[in-house]
Amino acid sequence: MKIENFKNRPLLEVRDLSVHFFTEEGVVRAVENVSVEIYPGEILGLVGESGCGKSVTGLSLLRLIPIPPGRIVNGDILFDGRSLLNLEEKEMEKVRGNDISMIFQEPMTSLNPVFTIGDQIIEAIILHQGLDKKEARKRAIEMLDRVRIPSPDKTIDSYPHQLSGGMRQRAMIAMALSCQPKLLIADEPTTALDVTIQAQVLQLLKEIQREMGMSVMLITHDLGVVAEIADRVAVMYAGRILEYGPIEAIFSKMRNPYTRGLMGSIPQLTEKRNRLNAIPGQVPNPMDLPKGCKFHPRCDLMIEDCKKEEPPLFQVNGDHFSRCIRWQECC
Amino acid sequence: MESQAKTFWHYFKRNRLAVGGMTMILVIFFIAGTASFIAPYDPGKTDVSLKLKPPSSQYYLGTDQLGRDVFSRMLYGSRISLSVGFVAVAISIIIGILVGALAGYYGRWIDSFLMRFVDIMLCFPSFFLILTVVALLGPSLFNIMVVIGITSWMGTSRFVRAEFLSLRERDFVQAAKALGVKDHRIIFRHILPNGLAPVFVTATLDVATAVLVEAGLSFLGFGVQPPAPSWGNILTEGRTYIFDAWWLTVFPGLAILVTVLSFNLLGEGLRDALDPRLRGRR
Repeated sequence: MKIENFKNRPLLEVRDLSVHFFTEEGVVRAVENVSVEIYPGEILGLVGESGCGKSVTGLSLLRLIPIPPGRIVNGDILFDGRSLLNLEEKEMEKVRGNDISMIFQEPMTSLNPVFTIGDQIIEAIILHQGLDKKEARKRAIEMLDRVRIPSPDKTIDSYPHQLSGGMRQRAMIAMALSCQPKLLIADEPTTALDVTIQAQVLQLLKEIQREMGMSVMLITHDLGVVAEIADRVAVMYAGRILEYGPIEAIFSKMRNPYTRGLMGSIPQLTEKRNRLNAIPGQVPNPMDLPKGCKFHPRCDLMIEDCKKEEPPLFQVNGDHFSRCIRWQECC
Repeated sequence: MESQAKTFWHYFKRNRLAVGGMTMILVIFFIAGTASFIAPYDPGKTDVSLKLKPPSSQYYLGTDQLGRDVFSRMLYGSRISLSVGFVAVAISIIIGILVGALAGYYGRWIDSFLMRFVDIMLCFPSFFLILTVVALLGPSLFNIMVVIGITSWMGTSRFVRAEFLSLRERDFVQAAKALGVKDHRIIFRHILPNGLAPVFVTATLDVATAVLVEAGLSFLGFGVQPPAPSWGNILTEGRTYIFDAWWLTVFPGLAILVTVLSFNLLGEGLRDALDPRLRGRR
């Protein structure tokens, strides 16, 4: 049951965001002119291969990009109408963990090994909500219960190394959600987990998201994960968005050769194959990107015009867009 | 955390010398703590008729040139040595942790600036610097502790900086930042507990150095002033009688040797037990 809310104002608006890293070897244009919106209560999937700039995009929302060598060279990020890039660091600290939260890929290393998971959740609660220790502890136990951790009143005093991978990731989620953020950025939250636990964690995310009316930016390379819970999806490649729109539209009729390549590379159980369907060629070196469309060297629909200028996002239909001059013939 | 402590103890136990050092330190501590109960005589009571008596069942370590019982004086002297050692090192680790943490966490110009400052401090021959300061400001116990403290923090700061340089890249630091935790809290509450292991080592070894420096200062007359007993000044007063009353130099010398050796053994034992174990873990 999708929440139809496109008439509302978006909760998060990323406008023309460009993030570059200035290194000794050259400039890495990790994110280039990325624009996405996330509406209240929806899940946006940000999909792409390793190195396409999706994690950098997520980190930029919380201004966690290390400023040298990185720099937000262009664009703006509006949250609830407020520009996040114009905030003082002190104000940004109030946003982090409170209005916008983030969970990371490796729960083992994202939790401080010398503190119990209870300590870490309680810290977040006390920091943003000013409760006293007793109250905060009660809340923490409630959160752990909400993420379906068994015996939360005992588990709260466990150290990260005493928990399994799935439990740790749930603890991370509890920590991130303890202050009821409006937006959760989930950076590859299930990549480090095995498949059965993956499904459970995704299910959990979806349920909590519904309960809390929270928005989620789900960053992943796994189309299966996106298909499972996202409402809309943005496909990224070499720092750019190549296709963007509602999930049913893209999955049923994609309009970008890269998206098609991604879908096609997923092996089907029922198929008999000797070799995997890989997209020919390689992801370009971010310091030496090709001219024109960044995907053209690997694209089977490539024509001369593709090499000249980078195409804009063409509107396919309503809110479905594709950055390809041949989108009409595609797929 | 608990399993780290268990593996550490397991490795530490196997090092006999380190355990010996630790035991000896506990003994010295005990002696220093109970000095007023164990001491058979008043360390300051002079009786010239009893002067320069050799060790006997009555005066375990003999008497000095003023008839004072050497054993009792040595017991009280242990208090001086240990207290100077610990207070001086406490001061030096506070400074060392502050400098190292700030340099390691913030990097760039703060790091360069602080490390150049460390290099400058390292250029001073510390014993002579301490000697000069104490000679100028007066040899009070407080002065000695402070001066030793502010000239021996550099080693600790380098280790702490190294720990911070690696720990600040860890995911849990980014996760803490993503929760909005402020920098000073991240440094002291999140990163520091993970990076304290080398500080235990440098602190222990620094106590050994501090005890030696205090003994040296007292020996030269710039440390604890007579009649207050310090192993260093008992030693120096005993120099005049070295051929006639060997007990006045041998015993304080031995005490200094054993104490410094014990701290060194403990420190090295800590380093071996902590180093491959805790460093290698994630």
